[in-house]
Amino acid sequence: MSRLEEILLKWQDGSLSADEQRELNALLAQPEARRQLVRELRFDNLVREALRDQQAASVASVSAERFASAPLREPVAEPSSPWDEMFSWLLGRPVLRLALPLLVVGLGTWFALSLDPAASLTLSGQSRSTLVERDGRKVPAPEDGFVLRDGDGIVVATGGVAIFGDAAQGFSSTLLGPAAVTFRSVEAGPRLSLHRGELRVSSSAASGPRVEAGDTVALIDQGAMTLRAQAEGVRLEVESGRARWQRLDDGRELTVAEGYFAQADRRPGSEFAVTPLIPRPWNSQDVGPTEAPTFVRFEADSVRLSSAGRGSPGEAGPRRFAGGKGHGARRQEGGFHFVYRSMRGDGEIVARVVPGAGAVNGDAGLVVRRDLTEDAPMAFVGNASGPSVSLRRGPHGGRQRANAAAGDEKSVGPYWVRLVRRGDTVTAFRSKDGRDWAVTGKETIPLAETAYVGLALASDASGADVAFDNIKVTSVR
Amino acid sequence: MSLNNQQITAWFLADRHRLMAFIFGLLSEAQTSEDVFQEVWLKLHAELEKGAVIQNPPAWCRAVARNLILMHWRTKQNSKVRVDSTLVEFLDCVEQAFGEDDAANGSDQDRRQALGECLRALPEKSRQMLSLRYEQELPLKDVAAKAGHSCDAVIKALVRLRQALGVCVEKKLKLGELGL
Repeated sequence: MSRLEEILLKWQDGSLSADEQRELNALLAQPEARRQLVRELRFDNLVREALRDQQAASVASVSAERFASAPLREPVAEPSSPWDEMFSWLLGRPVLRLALPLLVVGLGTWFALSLDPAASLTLSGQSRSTLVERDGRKVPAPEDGFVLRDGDGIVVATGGVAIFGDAAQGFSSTLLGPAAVTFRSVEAGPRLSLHRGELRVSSSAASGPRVEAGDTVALIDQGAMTLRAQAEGVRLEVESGRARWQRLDDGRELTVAEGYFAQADRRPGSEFAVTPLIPRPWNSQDVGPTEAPTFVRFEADSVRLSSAGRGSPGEAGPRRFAGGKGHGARRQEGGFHFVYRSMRGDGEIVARVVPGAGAVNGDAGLVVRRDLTEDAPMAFVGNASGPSVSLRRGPHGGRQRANAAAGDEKSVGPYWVRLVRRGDTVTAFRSKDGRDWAVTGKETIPLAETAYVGLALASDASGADVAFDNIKVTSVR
Repeated sequence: MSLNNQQITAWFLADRHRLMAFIFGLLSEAQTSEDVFQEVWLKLHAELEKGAVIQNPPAWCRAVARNLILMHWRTKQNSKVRVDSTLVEFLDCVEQAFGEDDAANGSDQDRRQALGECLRALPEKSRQMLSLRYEQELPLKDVAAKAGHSCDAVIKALVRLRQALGVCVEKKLKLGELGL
């Protein structure tokens, strides 16, 4: 053991004495000692990272093991009933032993011929452009309650939607246009083949429907997943629960857990691995109570926030940020979904807000907050649902107030917003093009050295959809 | 010749292990090291956005990291490190050592993979000791208490373990045994 190794361990432990510190400095006057120091420190870092990797792999492996073994559990043996005893007695008679199977086959055949054996799915919401293809015929604009049969195809045009599922089996699907899917009913349960577009599937059953897309098969386990079939391949995103995904050409299988996605590209030899949906240093969570879960998707050059909602539009008024101006009597105040990162010291966040297809019932914009608690002071700029871009200030010590200085401007389409933090002062800007900025308000908010900045969406029960692009966070200290 | 933004970003991603080793080697706390690392990247990005020309990105990043580390030590309430001229001299030495190492080629990626395999081959007791020190970041005296040894014995054991891992990694790299 060299003296340098020993002293370095003590340095990292924080137990180095002043004399040892001087000794360490003297040792480092030698070029060889400096080379050894770099080797040691790089090695230490690698050990730390390798241990962390193994810990992560171990946790993932345990989860995958639990998931993979779930369907293999032995059924629980029921206590024998009087019927069991009667069948045992009948099977004990030689004549009846021959007659009983024939009777069962006969009854089964009659049942199969007299009833439609195929399990069915029901449409529960769709846009006017949706059509169902059945036996070569087209059924345009089917109504709610339309029952899908084995072999039916659903085609949704651009911007359209079709919601279908089986409430008894506890699963529902949303097909977002342009998209096409075929439904097959087999003994094991419903099968969906996604030919193009985006399909969201949620299932409360232990084993949800089987979804085929491209050369892959996905199974969701008590959760929600989204499959997108694109020209370059298929992408699977898991919002909650877990999904098992198999690539058919090489038989490789992945378990994709909540908050992760995987991509199956058509290119041979392409990567087939699990990746977090939200890349560092970003995080995502609800702040305060929200009407419905929000799904966050980081794409190549934008971030999309969408909240599926639980009811039909109009069940509740637009959900507004606390301290903001409402849309009348049905206004609500409350939580929102926040995609955020920390920002130390002064700095700014800029983004362009692009409202998604269809109505956006809620607020979307940028937020700077002191912390992530519900009542933390915050400033918000933006508004996707209404016609204005304005600065609002959040609650502080139970006090809420709207910003009287906010300069509202018409902003229905895509718009640019920017929040600049200088000490405790937050200034909001708006722009039509990201070049010419106009101040919409200025607020003094008690912020800590490290504040949280990011993208926010507050939606009502009917859901909302918005994309942010040109996002830039700059810390200036 | 100055590098463009894309080249600097590519360098930063490829060389992140070395910069992290510099930061973690000085701070010995994973969470704080990650914060400093992130801050360095933000500052580098902000400079590039402003159109600044950075001739030597590794040295620039280390200089920024060094200042952030000094600031951390000065502002942290219960810091075990006392900032004085001896400590600043040590910082200079470490910065110089990494500067001299810039010329060395080879990324840590293969080494990390080989190290993972070597770690898996270690006896459970040894892995546990490494985990206590490097993963849970326990002080040596706490590691000693958990292992039921003296502090000196733990230091010796850790040094021996690191040497054994080093030999194992070099052997795997030489033989090209990664095979994953």
